[in-house]
Amino acid sequence: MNDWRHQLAELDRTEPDREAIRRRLEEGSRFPDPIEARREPRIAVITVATVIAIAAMALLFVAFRNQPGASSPAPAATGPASTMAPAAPPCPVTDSPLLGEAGVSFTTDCLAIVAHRPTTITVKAGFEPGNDRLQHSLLVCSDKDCNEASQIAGTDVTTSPALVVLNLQGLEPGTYFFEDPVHPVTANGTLYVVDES
Amino acid sequence: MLCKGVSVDVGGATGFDELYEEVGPRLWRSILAFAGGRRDLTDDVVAEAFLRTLESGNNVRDRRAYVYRVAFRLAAQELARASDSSQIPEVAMQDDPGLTELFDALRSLSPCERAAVYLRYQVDLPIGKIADILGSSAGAVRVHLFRGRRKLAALLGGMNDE
Repeated sequence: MNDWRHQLAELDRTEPDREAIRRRLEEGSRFPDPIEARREPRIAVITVATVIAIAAMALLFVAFRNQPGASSPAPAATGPASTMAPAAPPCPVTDSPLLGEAGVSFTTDCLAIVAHRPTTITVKAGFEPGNDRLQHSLLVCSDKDCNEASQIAGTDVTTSPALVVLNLQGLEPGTYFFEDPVHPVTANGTLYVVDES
Repeated sequence: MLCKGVSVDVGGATGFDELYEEVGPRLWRSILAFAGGRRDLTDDVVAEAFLRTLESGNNVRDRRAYVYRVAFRLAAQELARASDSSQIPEVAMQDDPGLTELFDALRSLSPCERAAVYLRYQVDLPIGKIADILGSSAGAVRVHLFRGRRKLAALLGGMNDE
């Protein structure tokens, strides 16, 4: 047998240098103090945020004084376009979306839900003849690539036929993505999160 | 202060030797897999994890779990720092050419996938423990395992199954 498990077991041929580790230990820590490391960025962030806030207030004050007719400052920017959901998503908004998964594809590539409201997405996977005993899962991500950093929620991997249930906390309005990480190329789509109004 | 110069007594019945016998080689190999074969980083991280565990003394209920958690946190930080400054070497472990293919394959996995696969199939830990060590959820660990197995099977051969 010369497969990945066999080769992985070969890793146990490597031996740590016990004395090198002991010497390193005796020399003391070379790593940042965890408490200091947490504190220093926090102080820096607070300082920068304070400076920005003061500068913004000064700019608003100057703008207000130069426009005597103005009753209020211009509305603030509403955020980057990539996080904005369209006013009318291309599919109906539902409270508890039910998603079919036939074989290794979803039955739709569009879901729409209401923002700031806990929602359950259910995938009905592999109930058709011949589609059982496939593995399925569901991930919701902020990024289309669904890399680790962008994963918002996910389910365990389940063997069909099965209902894969994903409980989502209330999301901010915007455009998100969903995929079955077992079949990411064929089973994916866009999740629109829109304001209730 | 970037580094603190703390030295501890590494001898004694509850010191380094006992902890090393308990977890040393397995932990070292787990971090080596997580770090994609970076032996320098692995030595540093394991020594630091031992140091912090020994410093914690009796405040730690389960030393084995604690030292694993600390080591993986530190390794993740170091990998992120190395990644930011593009310090990842092309050939990570030159002292054992027989493992080159394995480490090349492991480096095509994410660190979490590497750790999940090693801890599951070599250290034989249950998924809940792995999630605890990696600061993740059981569901995420299952996804890491699935993806890790799939990539390793494609690169090294074998089946992508439990």
